[in-house]
Amino acid sequence: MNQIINTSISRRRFVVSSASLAGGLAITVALPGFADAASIAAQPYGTDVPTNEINAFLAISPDGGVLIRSPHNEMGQGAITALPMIVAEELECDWSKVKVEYASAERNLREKEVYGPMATVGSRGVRASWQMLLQAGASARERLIVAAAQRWNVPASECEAANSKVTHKNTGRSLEYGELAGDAGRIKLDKEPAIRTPDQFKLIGKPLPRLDTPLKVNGAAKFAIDTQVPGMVYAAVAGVRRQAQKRR
Amino acid sequence: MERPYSLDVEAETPLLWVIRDELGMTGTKFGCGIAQCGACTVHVDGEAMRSCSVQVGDMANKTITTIEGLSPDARHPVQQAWLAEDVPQCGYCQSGQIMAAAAFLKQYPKPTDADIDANLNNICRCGTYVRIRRAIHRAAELMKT
Repeated sequence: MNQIINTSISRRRFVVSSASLAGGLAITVALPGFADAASIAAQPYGTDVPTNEINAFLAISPDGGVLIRSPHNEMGQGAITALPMIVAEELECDWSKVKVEYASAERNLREKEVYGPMATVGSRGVRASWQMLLQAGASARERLIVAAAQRWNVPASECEAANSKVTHKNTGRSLEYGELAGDAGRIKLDKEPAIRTPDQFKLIGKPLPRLDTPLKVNGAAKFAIDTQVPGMVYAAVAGVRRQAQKRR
Repeated sequence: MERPYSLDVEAETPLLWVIRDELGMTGTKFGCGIAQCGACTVHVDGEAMRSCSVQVGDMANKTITTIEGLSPDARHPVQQAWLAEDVPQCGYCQSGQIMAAAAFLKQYPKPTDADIDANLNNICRCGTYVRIRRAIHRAAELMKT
């Protein structure tokens, strides 16, 4: 069943949201800003799980679930898997705990294009966003490391992040990302970390199952035609065939 | 989960629109509306039919299965095979593809490529036909065991 999460939609927001769809066969809810998380979730986390946002691209809930926001739409090209993989590459998180939702077009306007140009068109998703996505993952990872280092009162340089955990190398102590995310969101770094170069990639380049496939084998994936809003009426153009014949 | 429905709709209404608009099950898709593309394929008493071109008035006392009802947990062998082969791209035609394949495999439990080509003509604009074929063979294997 469709769940409409946001029902108070202004015309302006509708136009902006619609403009981010490049027509055709987009799998989408009509309002990317209020994506029906269940319709693109890699894992069935409830939408009411409190999450700690570290930056606009990702939030980590206390149970370790990693929510990654995709600035581009899924329309069969694999964006909803590939773009989160780029974030996860730097984040060093457990991929099985990743769920995905669409980034908010409204937030993009409000926060000076924090997600960059959100149009999904011309095979430009990865090309337009990859550096930004790597940076989002790296910046979040460094904050998680600093949060753990502060907790242990040790230098951050003695800590490393892997598989959704920060470990203190000297003592072997470790903390899960879910335990650190709240603090990490408040940490200011002197300098944002540099992003990886392709020779350092561990996750990027590996074939992984697409996150949208489960929803496309049971009818759950929502397409534009599946949108339902309260009080919706249906209309069709009558007499199209005759019009078409007359024009010849 | 089988459920009887009693509906007050015009008898000529295509089954597809009753499923989607009256019953709110949107897994079955509208594609061409003239029984060519197969996006709207459902089972009527176990047989694959294009729901855009059958009238609901002819469906009295028949059992309709949509993609939502193919299995309670998406574990039908065809769905498992589709997952294993990562078949869908955009996914719009895939409910119909899966329903068509599930009905086909009942008639052809050990299909050849020629059987698949001769009997399944659902259209996929993304061109996933090669994976669909692989998935059908995989589903046939799963059904044997």
